[in-house]
Amino acid sequence: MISIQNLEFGYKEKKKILKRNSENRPPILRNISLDFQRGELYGLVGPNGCGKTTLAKLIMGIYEPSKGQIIIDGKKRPNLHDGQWKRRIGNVSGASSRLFSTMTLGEHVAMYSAIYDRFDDKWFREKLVEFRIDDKLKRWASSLSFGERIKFELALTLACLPEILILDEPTVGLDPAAILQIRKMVNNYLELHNACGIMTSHNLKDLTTTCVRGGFLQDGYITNEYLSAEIDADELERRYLEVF
Amino acid sequence: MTGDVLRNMFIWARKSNTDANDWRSMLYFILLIFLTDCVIWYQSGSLSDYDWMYLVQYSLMSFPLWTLVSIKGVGKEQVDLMEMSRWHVVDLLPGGATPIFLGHYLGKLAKLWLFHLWLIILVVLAVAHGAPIYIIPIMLLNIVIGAVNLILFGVFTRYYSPRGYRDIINSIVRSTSTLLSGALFPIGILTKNSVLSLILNPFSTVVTSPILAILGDPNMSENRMIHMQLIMFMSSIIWLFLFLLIAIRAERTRRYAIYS
Repeated sequence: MISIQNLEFGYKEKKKILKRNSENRPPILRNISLDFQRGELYGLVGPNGCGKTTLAKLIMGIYEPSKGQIIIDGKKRPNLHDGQWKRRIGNVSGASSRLFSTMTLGEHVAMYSAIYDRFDDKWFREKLVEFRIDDKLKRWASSLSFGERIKFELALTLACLPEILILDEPTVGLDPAAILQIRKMVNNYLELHNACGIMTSHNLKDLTTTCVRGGFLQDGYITNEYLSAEIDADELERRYLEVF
Repeated sequence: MTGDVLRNMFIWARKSNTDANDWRSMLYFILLIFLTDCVIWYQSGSLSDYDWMYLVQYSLMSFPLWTLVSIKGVGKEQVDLMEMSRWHVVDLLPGGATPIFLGHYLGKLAKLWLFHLWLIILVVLAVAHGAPIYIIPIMLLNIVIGAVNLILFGVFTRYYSPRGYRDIINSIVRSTSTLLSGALFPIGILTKNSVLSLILNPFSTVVTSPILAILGDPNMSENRMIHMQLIMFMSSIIWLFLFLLIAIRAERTRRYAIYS
């Protein structure tokens, strides 16, 4: 469903006064080609700053590739001016909140259910009960703990029924029980809604239990691709330490 | 005019330290506006012919309390997006940040009991002063549109302000726009033609419309009053669309500048 073909991307230097064009930095991603089928997540492993989040942003359309292309369902990936495209993406980032600090959780739910016509309110309420945050809907988003925030964001995102999941370290800062709940929820969602996408995490067990396959992002290239069915987290960690 | 400047200075100075979403702050604002009006009117002596009831009514209408609520929220989120590099918050939401914030805070306002109370008082005053019934809905619409114009003006000037000067520019813009919304200010100040003056001022309808509808002008006929209200309605609607377009464009420029 998602096909990344010979993708290359490098950030630009900040524009300087009196200089017409900004200079390009060396590419952070080089010649990346990947295919994700429906129902599967691809696990991206790599050290901080290797370009995992950049690749996620390229898939979503926040950045445009310098070379190569991203094909979605046989067509070139639309850009962020396309509202329908944005409705198909579900993005959760452990590192940065997507909630508005001056809104309560209940107001977020009202806003998302108004914007996303496929919003599954019943499923969402069930998840809130499961995560034990159903009594916090009247609280300000800024007053949530780190873990509560991620649980709420993930439930809210999946309730919008996205077809493409971009999960950027979604289990960071969560307690072990919550991590298990998150993995189960994502797996159920993939199976039920046939979604696909990528997941990055430094918790390698997340990747082996949630993603069908994955690879290391090393010096801008995808290397050491693996199938989760053939490898466990310990083995993945051993390989990781060998490579990095 | 000096009174308006002073009053706005007091209000905005105080506003920066309080949360307008809190009903106690709102009551505080009402009291503050009333008291500053009293002082200004007493000191000026220019309106000494009017009785204190007029002062109370003018105070109720002279400052759109509810814009405090909406401006506060929109501004905070906007600064968050720009200063904390949180554009990703809205990047994936269908629709831009400006319409989302605007819709959200107007919706929030619609549920605010103080706003309901304020509207009821305006309607009761209008009826008590014998304003024609059909003017009341136009008056209410004019207030809403004028206040949205105030919000949007603040939004796009914030987007277009250079980073280091954002606070000072924002402060000047807020003071100027609320000052321009002052009831006795706009008529005839921009041009000697009062109708043209109303059309040129995007914020005048917030206060001028209820003042005209409720307290009225003894020299103005009913037909003339309806004519003025309709002119205010049409001009403020045009301003609203213009400001909305500019605000959306400003947001887009600011938002995509970091990706280019």
